[in-house]
Amino acid sequence: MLKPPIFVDQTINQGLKQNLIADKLAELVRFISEIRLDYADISVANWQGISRNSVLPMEKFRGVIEPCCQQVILASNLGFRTVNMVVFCRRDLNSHAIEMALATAKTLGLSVVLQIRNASEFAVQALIGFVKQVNLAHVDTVLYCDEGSLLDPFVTYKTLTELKEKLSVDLEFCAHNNRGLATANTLAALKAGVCKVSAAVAGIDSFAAFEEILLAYKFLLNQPIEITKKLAQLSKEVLGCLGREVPMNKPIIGSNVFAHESGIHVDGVIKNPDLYEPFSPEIVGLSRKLVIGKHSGTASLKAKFRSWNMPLNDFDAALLLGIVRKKAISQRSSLNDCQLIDLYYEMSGQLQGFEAGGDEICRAEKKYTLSIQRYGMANKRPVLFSQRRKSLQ
Amino acid sequence: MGQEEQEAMKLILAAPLKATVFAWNRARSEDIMASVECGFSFLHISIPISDLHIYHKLKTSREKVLKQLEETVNLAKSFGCQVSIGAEDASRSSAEQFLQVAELAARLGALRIRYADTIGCLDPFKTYEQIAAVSKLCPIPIEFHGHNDFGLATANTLAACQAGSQYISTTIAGIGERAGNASMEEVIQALNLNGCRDPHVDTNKISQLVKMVNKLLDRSNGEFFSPNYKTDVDFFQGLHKCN
Repeated sequence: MLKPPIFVDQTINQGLKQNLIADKLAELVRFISEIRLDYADISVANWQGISRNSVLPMEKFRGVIEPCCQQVILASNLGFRTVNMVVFCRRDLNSHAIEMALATAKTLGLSVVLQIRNASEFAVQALIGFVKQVNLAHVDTVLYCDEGSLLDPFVTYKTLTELKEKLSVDLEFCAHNNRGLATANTLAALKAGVCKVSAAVAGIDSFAAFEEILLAYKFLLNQPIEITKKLAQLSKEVLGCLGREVPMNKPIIGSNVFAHESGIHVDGVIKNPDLYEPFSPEIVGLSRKLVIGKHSGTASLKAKFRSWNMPLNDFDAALLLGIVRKKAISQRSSLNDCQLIDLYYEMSGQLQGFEAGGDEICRAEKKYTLSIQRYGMANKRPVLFSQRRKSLQ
Repeated sequence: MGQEEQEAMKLILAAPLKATVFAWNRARSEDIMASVECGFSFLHISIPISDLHIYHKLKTSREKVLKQLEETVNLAKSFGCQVSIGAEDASRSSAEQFLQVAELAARLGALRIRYADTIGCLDPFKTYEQIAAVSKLCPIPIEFHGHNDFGLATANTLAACQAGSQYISTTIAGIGERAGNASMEEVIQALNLNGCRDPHVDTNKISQLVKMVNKLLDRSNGEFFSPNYKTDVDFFQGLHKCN
């Protein structure tokens, strides 16, 4: 059983960077609080000028500062109870200045996170060497940051496990996503027992995506964790505050991640959603969609029309499929429901008044020949004829 | 396969590509015939291998699925085609179930077998464990095919390579069903981490390619990309300069 994760939000800070007006910022904080707000990193430099507002949960905000006494005092005056002091490790590290800033923070009764921004550039031993240049008694947490996106999940796990053993202070992890590995690295950190991790809604600003970590923690690491049923909607609101849209295919929260188009997938999902869905869409407040486009099969069309109480027979489904595919290819996108209904009525209208004699197969063959002329579907001969013939023989 | 798809397939085959183009087939004779008629000589034939897919989707038995695979591979071979095998939903199957298909595939003369994480339910640690377990015993090379449902497709693909997978499936800009597949540009960046830089990849052209796909799909509003996509491309260009 892993220790439950504690998330350090980076989304609100992005709002500050974008100079959101106070009301908008309060709205952003409200949406994030509804999703989940354990802690949030806030740039003290950007926070100046934001009036004290009782709505803002200052106890959860950590002031991000440089290792300098004035900034520590400023953070304290602005109401921060924790500072996140950013340090770049290098050969000529000014450990004296850091020491002074740390001591000031302690005098003011602040909790201190010492963030090593470029930690992943160093081997564990070298990093410990750097960290031990300062008095760790003044540090509550060391934050290992992979700013250059230099880690893969296995290196993350190994490094953090080793650091955890060798450092006497709490560890925290912040991944960056320039190589698309931030979520995986964060999960590796959680596996290594580092439970405080940075994340941003939808992974904005190249941080690990909060919702991906949350769901992967629950369903891939099989650990209990609460997930709001409004996750997708709230994430959309959060991005909306920042003037952005959730990409349709964004894992977990994108509007299309439970959309199924290809015949083989739709056929499967209709039979049993577990076949092509890793978890139920309702968990995050999304719903399953059957997309009708050029990859669709007759099963999709029949399911769609069944849901409208207009059951299609095999023949009409095969016929409509041909028309639908042509349309999808010409407009280079899937069809919406209105288009689908229109095409159906257009098709039935064409075939209305068509009366043919003979048995069922004979009528269908004639109807089919007519549709070839109308829609030019030379190779759209529905397979069902040959099947029916066989069964009649 | 519809007429429009056949036309598209023929156009792809006729394009002056350096790549070997495979046609994706279900293990059905009509699929094989359609691919052969288009002029393909490399066919990928896919069968589901998890109990869930065999019993709940196909509603058949494992024996029947394997028999169907054997028949369709033989049919493809009768036209002189080279074949690769796809093991759909391999990540929810046992190593034995995968190896059973791999051995049959090898016996039938298949070039390689695809290990598909069809619903994206692997994490990198499980990927490594599962691919390492099968790659030791697999008689033909393994191709890893990841999906991005939990945002782990790139990491899983990297882990599969580290565990011995010799081929990987990627799509430009990560397009694909639901949350997409492993994106080529991210996987290349991830592989660079471990010093696996492929000298044949022209890194200079990657961002152009991504932009082109974006434009062709009419996704200029970024629908298909993560919000940090722009950073990614800039980062990639930065990498190129460093190299």
